[in-house]
Amino acid sequence: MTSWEKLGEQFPRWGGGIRGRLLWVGLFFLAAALLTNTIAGSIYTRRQIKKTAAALQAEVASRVAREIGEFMRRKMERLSDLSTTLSLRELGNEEQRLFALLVLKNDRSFTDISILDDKGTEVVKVSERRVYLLSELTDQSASEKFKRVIKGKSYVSPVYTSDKAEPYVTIAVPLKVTPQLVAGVVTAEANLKVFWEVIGEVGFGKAGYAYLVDGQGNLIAHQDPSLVLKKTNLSHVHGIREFLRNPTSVDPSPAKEDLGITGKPVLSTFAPVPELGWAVILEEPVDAAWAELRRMERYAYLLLGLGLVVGAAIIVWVSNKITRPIRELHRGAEIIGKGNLDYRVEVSSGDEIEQLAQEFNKMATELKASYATLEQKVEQRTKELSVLYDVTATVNQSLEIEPVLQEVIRKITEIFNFDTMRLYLFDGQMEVLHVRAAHPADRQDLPRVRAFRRGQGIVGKVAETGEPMIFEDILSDSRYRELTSTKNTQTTGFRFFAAVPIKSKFKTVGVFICNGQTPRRLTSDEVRLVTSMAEEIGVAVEHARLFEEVARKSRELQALVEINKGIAALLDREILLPRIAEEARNLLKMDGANFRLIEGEYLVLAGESGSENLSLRPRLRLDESLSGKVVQENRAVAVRDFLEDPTIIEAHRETMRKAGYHSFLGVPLRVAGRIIGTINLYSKEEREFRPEEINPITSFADQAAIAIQNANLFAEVKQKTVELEGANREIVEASRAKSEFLAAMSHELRTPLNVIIGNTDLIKDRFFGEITEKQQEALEKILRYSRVLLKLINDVLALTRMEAKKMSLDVSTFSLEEVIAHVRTYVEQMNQRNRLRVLWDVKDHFPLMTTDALKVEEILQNLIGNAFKFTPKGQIEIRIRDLIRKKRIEFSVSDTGIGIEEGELEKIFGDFYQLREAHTGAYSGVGLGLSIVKKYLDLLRGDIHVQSQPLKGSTFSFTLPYSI
Amino acid sequence: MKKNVLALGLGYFLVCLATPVEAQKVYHIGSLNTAEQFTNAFEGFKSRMAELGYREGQNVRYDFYNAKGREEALNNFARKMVQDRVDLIVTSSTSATVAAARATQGTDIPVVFLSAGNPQRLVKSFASSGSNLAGISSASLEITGKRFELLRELAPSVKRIASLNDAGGVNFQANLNEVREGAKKLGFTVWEIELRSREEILKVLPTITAKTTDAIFSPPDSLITESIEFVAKQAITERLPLITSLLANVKRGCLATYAANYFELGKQGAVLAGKIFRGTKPSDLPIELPHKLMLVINLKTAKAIGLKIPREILIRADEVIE
Repeated sequence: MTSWEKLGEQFPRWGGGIRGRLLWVGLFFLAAALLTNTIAGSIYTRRQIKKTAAALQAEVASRVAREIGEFMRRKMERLSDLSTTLSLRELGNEEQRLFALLVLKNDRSFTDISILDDKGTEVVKVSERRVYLLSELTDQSASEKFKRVIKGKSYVSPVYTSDKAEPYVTIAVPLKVTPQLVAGVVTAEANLKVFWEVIGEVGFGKAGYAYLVDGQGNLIAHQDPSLVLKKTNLSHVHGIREFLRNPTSVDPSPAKEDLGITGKPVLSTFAPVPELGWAVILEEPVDAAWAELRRMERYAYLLLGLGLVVGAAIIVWVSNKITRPIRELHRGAEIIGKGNLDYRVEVSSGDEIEQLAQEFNKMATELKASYATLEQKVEQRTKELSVLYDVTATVNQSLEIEPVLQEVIRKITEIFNFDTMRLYLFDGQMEVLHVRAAHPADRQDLPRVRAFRRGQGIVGKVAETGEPMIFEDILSDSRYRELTSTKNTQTTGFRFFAAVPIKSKFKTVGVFICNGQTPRRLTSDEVRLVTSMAEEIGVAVEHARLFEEVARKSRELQALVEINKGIAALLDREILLPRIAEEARNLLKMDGANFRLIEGEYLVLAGESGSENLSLRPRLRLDESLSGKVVQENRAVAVRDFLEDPTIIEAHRETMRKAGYHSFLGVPLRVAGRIIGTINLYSKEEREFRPEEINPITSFADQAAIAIQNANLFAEVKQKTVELEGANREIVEASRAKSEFLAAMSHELRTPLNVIIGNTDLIKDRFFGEITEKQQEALEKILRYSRVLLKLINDVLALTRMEAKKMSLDVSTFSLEEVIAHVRTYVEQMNQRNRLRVLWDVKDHFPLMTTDALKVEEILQNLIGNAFKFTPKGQIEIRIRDLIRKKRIEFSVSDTGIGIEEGELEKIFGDFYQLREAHTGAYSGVGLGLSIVKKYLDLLRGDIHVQSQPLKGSTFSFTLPYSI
Repeated sequence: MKKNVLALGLGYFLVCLATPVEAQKVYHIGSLNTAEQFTNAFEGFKSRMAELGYREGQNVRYDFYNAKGREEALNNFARKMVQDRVDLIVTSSTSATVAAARATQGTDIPVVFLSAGNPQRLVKSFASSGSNLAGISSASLEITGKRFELLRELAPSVKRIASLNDAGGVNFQANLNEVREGAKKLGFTVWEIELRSREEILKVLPTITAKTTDAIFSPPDSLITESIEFVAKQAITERLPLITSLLANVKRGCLATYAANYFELGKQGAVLAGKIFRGTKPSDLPIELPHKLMLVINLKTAKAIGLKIPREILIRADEVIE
């Protein structure tokens, strides 16, 4: 047992019981007393500490403020002393300069000293670091220091920062020759960096700090000089706002908790520097300020915890002492309650609790006796239930009825010590009871009656009435003699006889009988048990029957599925049709089967199996046969016996009779609700067709109809395919012939045309001698139209080569700038007369391309040529961009030409397609340019897009990969 | 069970009492110096650090490096200190500060310079270095004019000055500018003598005579300071007043100077180091000026060159060497 479990045992039932109540009450009062003491002490101590801390902070602030005030006062006095000395000398003489230099030497706070005459002009100026020449002395009459001091008062300027990032004030005192006569002014620049040191060294508590602000709330000194140099204004800080409201006050403010300069909670106070109108602010983060307080509080809580623990231990000890006998009694009750009836409580307190314990022990003794009786009864009942369970388990072991019954009666025989048992079950008609199991099975000396009719003998009577009959001694029981029909039991020497009905769903399905050599009386419990067992046997019989039925249906469905799968896969009518007849015959195990399909007014024999001896007519009219009846009534038609059915025509009946058939079943073949034929089945035995037989054959007929329909469609498709293949071969042949013709013709045309162009060019260039102007014009026309014709032939040739798959790519790695240069030349030729404005939006540098450069060039020339052709006036813009992410180059050619109708956009890339405007003759060409562009781009893995608006212009954009 | 209860109680007690105890840190400071005359600043630094509670051997450890005018050694020492991960580098001249700033680039090691004649080249502004540097400007260059003023007060007849200058020094150009500006203001003619080595100094000194100049000015530079005795000797021989930029040089024969006290600068720098150790970022500390500038005159030298020092100047002098 762990320590915690032991501790748990020491504190059982904290929530209730005498001890629990004692504990809770004791603990409550103890906790209340300690808590009250701790809280009151904490509050008092907290107040005292806060008061002391605030006082201390105010004292420090005042001390620092005094120190700063004192410093400034000393500076003023020193300057006043200098002023007095200077008043004895002539203004501006060398002695005054020397005195000023000596002050600079002796008081390093002063960095510059100036002496001004009564007009405000500087007469002497010395500096610690600078050289001032006479020419550099200035007029200060307009300065604030002069204007104030010349009236006889001293002056201290606001704090300012030098270019060397140090704080300064200007101090000025009057230079008096008499108490009333001011002859000039002495001014000095005083370095206040010492304040940074003073303020920076102020340490208060663990994290306290100080800073100094002037009368406008500007930060003058702080331990972080960068804040001062940023000229931080703190007038928004609450404590400083309070100071600014009353800057002339002399007393420090009481310390308060507030947000400090950093925006965090602080304990803050300020002390004014009355001489200057400044204030020293002291701040200490609240966390640090009250750290000591928190520590003391922790001690207090520790003591509180210890007090509670010690007090609780004492209370537990006392309550244990008081309640131990009661708990002993309680423990005894628990042990007895758990079943240990031999346990006795040991209490010797000598009071009422001890008497209670003795009574308790007496009660435990009586309880033990009662319990023993009860145990016997329970044992008996358990045995019975065990037997019944055993029988039930046997019944549920298997769905095969014979072994189950055999095993059950064996067990019943053994349990009840019968000598023999026999079990009878009704036949299918519920009229005759047949013996189905016997125990012992091999006992040959006993006469066996194998069957009883309902109501026959005792067994038949029990089956009829559904009530058990029990004969304790058949020799002395007159009822036996009256009821028995065989007296078998008597003759075999048995004295005890019982017949118990076996029921299922309130219906008697059988009886079992039990025999004994000696007379015997069954108790009511035994009778109830035997009856219960009979009911269990009834359940087993019912289960077996249901199982048999399900198995039969499953077999039927499985067969149907297999057949349907077989025929559904067949598409050849020659195989399918005989198969349908055969499968239909096998499905119901009929002697013959055929099926007919409707063709107009007739039913045509399509397939048969086993009915060849019927010499069926190949065509039947719809109104003259049983098949026709199936079609007309659109349902299954069953005939038990042809020969006795007067509705069947005589000839038909005769045919059937000769072939030896008696029964007929016809079902319609339907596809999508339309009857396409019938399946007809024949049996030589007379058969009654039950619904469970008609249903599968109807389902089969539906599947067969679909299979026939599919086979018909398949045959049709097959025929069409053969026809189409023939037509396609002709088309391919014709196309090939056309391409070859065009290629040959184009080639033959190009050769002479090149000769024409070459020679014309030579004549035009006067290679063969001078020509007239008119001749020149004529030659130019010849050249122009010859080139148009050559272009046309080249396009046709390219197109035919592509169609004949003879076009190959000349792939190389090249710089796009070369292609652009060629295209620029082309554009210049096209635009010789500057008819259009051509804009180029092309970057300086592109990645190298690996593709067919000539084709890229040709694509661009085609698009640009089109732009020129269809743009009467305006401009053409050629743009080339690097799509780095896609690793492609985008080319686009925009024009302000005639544009393209939206309906034509999809057609323009077709062979020989021309815009409607082109048909007017205004624009030359045959409509191959864009077709070739598209085909080239397909070869180069490019894509092209067009945007166009009629009368506004078009933009053709295409992209190509860096590398094909 | 009792043990468990006791352990529980003890644990509670300890949790209640637990207060963070910080182990005392020993700060590691590296001192980088270029020449002997600057080491006085480091002595001042150490003395003030002790006053501030940083006692050597207890909570602070110093590594002292003197490159003795060798630039390569200066850079090596700076790199070594960075490798040693010192907590702070303290330098005592502009050259040393440049080396330290370069070596600590990309690290967070603060550098406090005790004396930089030309701090503008090291920091963004006087308000904030904008980097890991903080320190004190010796104001040595900017008071060049004051030194010329002193020269004129000592020897009113001076019209020509021979100004020595270290052509390879970090403050070469700044010094040149200050000399030119100060001389122009007071009407002096300047003979600018550019020097690159001790040999060059020794070679040029014989040319500096009473015929060629009226006075000599020596800038705050390590190279020239290393040879200042030779310069002083030549000045005395030629009876020329020699104004120096370093207090220590007056004792070595120069006539006078007006300059910051290096020992005091060191003390001033210690305060900055203390602030940095308490958490202030160097970039938040403004560059400081010397608290005190001293006027020092060597009367022996004055007598040797036949110069009578005016009484007014002697009164103003902070130190007179006799």
